[in-house]
Amino acid sequence: MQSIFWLILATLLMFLSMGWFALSLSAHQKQVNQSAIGHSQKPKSAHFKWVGWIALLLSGICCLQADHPSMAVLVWLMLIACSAFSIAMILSFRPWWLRPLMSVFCMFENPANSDSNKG
Amino acid sequence: MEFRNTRQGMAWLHTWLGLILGFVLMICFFFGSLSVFDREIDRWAIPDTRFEPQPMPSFDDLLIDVYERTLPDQDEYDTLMPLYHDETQGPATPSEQLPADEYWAYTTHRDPVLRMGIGFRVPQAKNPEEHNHIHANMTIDPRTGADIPDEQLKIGSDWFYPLHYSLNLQWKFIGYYIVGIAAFFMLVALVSGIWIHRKIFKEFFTFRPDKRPQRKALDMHNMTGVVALPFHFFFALTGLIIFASFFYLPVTNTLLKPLHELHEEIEATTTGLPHERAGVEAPMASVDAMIVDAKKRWDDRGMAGEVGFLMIHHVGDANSYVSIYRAGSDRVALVGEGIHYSAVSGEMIYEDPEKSFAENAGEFLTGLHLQHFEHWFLRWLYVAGGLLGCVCIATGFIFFVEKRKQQHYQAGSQASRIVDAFAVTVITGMLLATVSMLLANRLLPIELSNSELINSDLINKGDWEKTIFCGVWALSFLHAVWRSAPVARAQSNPAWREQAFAVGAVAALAVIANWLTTGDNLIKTLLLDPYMAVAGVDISLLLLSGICFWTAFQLPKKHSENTEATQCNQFSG
Amino acid sequence: MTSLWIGFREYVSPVIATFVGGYLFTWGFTSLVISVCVFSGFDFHTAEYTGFLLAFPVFLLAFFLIFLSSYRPAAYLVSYGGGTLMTLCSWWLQLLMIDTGGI
Repeated sequence: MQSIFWLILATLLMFLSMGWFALSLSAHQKQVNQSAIGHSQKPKSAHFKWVGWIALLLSGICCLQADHPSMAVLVWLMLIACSAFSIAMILSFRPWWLRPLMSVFCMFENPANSDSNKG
Repeated sequence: MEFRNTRQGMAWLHTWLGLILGFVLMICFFFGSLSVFDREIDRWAIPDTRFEPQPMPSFDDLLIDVYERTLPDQDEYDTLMPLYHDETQGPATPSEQLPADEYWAYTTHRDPVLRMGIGFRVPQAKNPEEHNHIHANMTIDPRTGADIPDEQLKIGSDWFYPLHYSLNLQWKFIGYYIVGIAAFFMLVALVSGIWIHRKIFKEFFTFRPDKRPQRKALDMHNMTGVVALPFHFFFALTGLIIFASFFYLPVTNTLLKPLHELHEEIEATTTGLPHERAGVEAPMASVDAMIVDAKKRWDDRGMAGEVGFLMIHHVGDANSYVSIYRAGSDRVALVGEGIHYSAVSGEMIYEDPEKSFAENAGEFLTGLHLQHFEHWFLRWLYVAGGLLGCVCIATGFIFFVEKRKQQHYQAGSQASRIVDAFAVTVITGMLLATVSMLLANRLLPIELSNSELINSDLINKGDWEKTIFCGVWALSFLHAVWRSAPVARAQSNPAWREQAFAVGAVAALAVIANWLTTGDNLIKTLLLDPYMAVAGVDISLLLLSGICFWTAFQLPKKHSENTEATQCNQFSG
Repeated sequence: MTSLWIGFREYVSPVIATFVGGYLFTWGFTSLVISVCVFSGFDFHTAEYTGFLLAFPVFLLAFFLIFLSSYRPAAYLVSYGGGTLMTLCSWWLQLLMIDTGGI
């Protein structure tokens, strides 16, 4: 039961990681931004990359908690593949589903900055 | 043939080797994906075996009776006896009198049934130093020891699984070599694909469904190839490594065979495991007691486990020994940690030592491919990876045709049409053959497996299923060729839509047939009396049916002649 | 028929020749690795695994280097010749080990 919990967490973190990596690319940021009316804040690509890497590593740690290291590595690599594919499909057909991933950064943005961006 | 630069050379290799070997690779990837759950497909196909997986049963009380009552395979006896037997020493030993030389038994955490085998030796052999074994292979119900007739084809493990590594072409093992060449060129295609793909990270998540077919196909091809690149690469590589010593690089069985044999003789002296029979008869001690001891030793080493593989060498001889291997279901590396006992005294002779780095690496890579581990989540991730590989190959075909069909139309060439027809055959045609086989399995009467009828190949149920598989696939090819005429006019092939509908219909019918013939439906197998093996196959068939119907409705009914042809010219790929 | 032959000679035969050259090179390399490892005192199975683990990456590299070489005859010489030489060296080492009766 414990390993199921770690695997669920690993999967969730991997989705977040791939989502943030996708959002670090300007083309995909535009896709997600354009799908929502009025949102004009643009967190930096570097921020998304940083959290993407952190989530990726945390996902790996969760995999190691769940299984023997030899299997954890395989689970982790396969999660990368499946999550990346899923994020790509979401970006293609339902990009607004990724808005919460952008909103995470908006919570920490300086309100003054966000006001000036609204122009 | 010369190239302006390396990139052009890589593009040429990727395009043409990918196209030609892609047809074989599609088969390997698809049936490889199905093979992840081959035992579960067996359960679906053979309803008598729909019970829970069992551990290795008692050797002394159950298995020995099975070994002693089993005779050699008659076909193998008829074929091999003339090759092995030395006629100058007298008449050939009748098959029922051939003495057993080795016993083996194999089970996994996924198997309700137990696979067993016997190697019978030829007493008056032409070359006594050679292996000279005639075999018998059995499958039994481990709860009772009853035989499960092999005439009921194990569709998963005895058809789909060998299809993925040998194309079920056994003549001179030609299928193995074709798959091996395809696997090598898969590696070439992966490396060259990465080389020519300019924007690996920038387009990592890119798929533009609103673009033209050529662009969409290329986006999907690039994405599915890159996101699962480690999977594609390591599966092709480990597939080659697994069969390296038998087929692809049999160095140690040919050039270095003398060194190999010298090593075996030295190993026999250092390990104490006799290489040859003593020629003195001796009874067997309790194998169950040896198994209990083996399990205790594994536990003492901090790796408690069940027996995965059991082998008895030199049966009935004073030099006989029993090898007991642990089922490696909790890690990637294969069955290992073997412990060997004297079959006569029951004393432990030798325990396999710790492996070297190279051996551990080899076992990890091999185990990664063969998947003996117990990890359902990882198994499903493997299926996803395999299907991503299928999508990569399929979109490669589609891109090839979309990119060239306009220029072929203008040149009056049939090339795009031919490629498209083959693509339909190995994609929808292959799916249709697969689901047709499963439907036939449920519709053909069980009486066709009657052992009294098995001598007639025409009415053996398993043979009918194979015939239907191959026949439907062949028909799908003919259909694809017949309907692909529009491709030569730079239009789309209606065969895609038609075969997609057919796959959707047959897959759904297979689920219904399973319910009607066995009483197992999803409500029962998921809720009332859970049996995930059958539920998983039914759910997969229904998903396939849904996806195929959805795809068929998305595909255009009528092709627009000029619009598509003009728009294809916009992209140079 | 002529165009088929031209097509075969121009496109197919270089691929076949490259594949065979790479294979021969890999065969020689693998057998030499195994022989040298056993000669150096490694266990036979360790030597075997080492050879097979290195074989296919070497084959892949050899294939690309030969096919994309700017002067293919030289690449063929190295692959076919080198593969043969390594095979012979491995055979010779094997004879040496068997003559001395030990691994």
